[in-house]
Amino acid sequence: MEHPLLFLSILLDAIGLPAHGGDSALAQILAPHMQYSFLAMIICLILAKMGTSNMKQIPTGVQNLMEMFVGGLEEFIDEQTHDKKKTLIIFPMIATFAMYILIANYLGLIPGFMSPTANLNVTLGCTAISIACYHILGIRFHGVKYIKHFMGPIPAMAPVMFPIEVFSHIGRILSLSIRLFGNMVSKEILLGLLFMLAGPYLAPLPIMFLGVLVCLIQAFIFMMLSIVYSVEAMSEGH
Amino acid sequence: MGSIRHEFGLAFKSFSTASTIALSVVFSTFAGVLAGWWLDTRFFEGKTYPWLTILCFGFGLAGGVKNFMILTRRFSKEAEENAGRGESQSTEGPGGGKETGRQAIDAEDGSRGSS
Repeated sequence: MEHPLLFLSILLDAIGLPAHGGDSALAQILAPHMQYSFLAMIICLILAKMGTSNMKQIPTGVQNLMEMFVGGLEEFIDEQTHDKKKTLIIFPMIATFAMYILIANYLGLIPGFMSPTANLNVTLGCTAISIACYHILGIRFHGVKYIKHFMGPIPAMAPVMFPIEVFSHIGRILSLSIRLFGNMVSKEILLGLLFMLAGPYLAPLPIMFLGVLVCLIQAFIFMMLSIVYSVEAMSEGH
Repeated sequence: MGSIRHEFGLAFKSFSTASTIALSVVFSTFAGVLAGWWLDTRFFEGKTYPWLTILCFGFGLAGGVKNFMILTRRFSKEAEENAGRGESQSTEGPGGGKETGRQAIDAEDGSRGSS
């Protein structure tokens, strides 16, 4: 979707960089969704730095916030894995997803900014990391036997079970990436339409409110599904 | 933790769970049909036209059912734990619900094979 007004693009344009997409490599790197993706990453880094630079026994400010986030998330993953070691293995990936996607989603609610997650490339990239990671975890925990899990319990049924497993995994990739992308882009299109049709004052407000909820829910779902699939790959029965 | 906050958390989780499960079934079926259609029209250039699409649709549907089983098993187990927290531990082992999932898929394979 073409955005009418993006602050970062205007800034980069003023410096003389190709910030509105194009065919050259630099223009691809500086496409709008990439700019705001970088911005979300920088915000993540700044929050982490602020949380850990001046740590005290009794937390204040950003440290308080980050401790709540990390502690709550660790507890949440522990409820699913029931194993401290497994929790600590997947925790960095899950926490990064949660924070990055949450910030990326909420960027879209600020006028002049866009959600990087409203672009399929970004969400597909996140999904690829998640999917590759849980397959690698499965191979790490079960060795070559992990491939055997795809064949089903009876060797004679392997030709039937294998396509079923493959399609179920493709379905996971699609549902993870397209759900996040679809929710974000639909919110943006709806907001744009309401701005154009109903005037800029109070008409988009209900959608904005819905957007606040949807942003949180989608980030939560992405995080939860990554946990569920990782736990599923690591568990004994698979 | 206050009970209202707990209730809100549960409602939030079940809301997101419901939308998740439905989509994973739909997209698995969709992937199956798309793969079958591609094989039929592009790879074999129409010689096998309806058959691979139908076969892969069946595979995709079974994959969707498998996704459904995995997710519902995980979330229902979690809900049981939340409901009976502190009263009694769940006696069902990790393989308890698994057999039903496998049997359902096997049954479906059987029905498709005979048709």
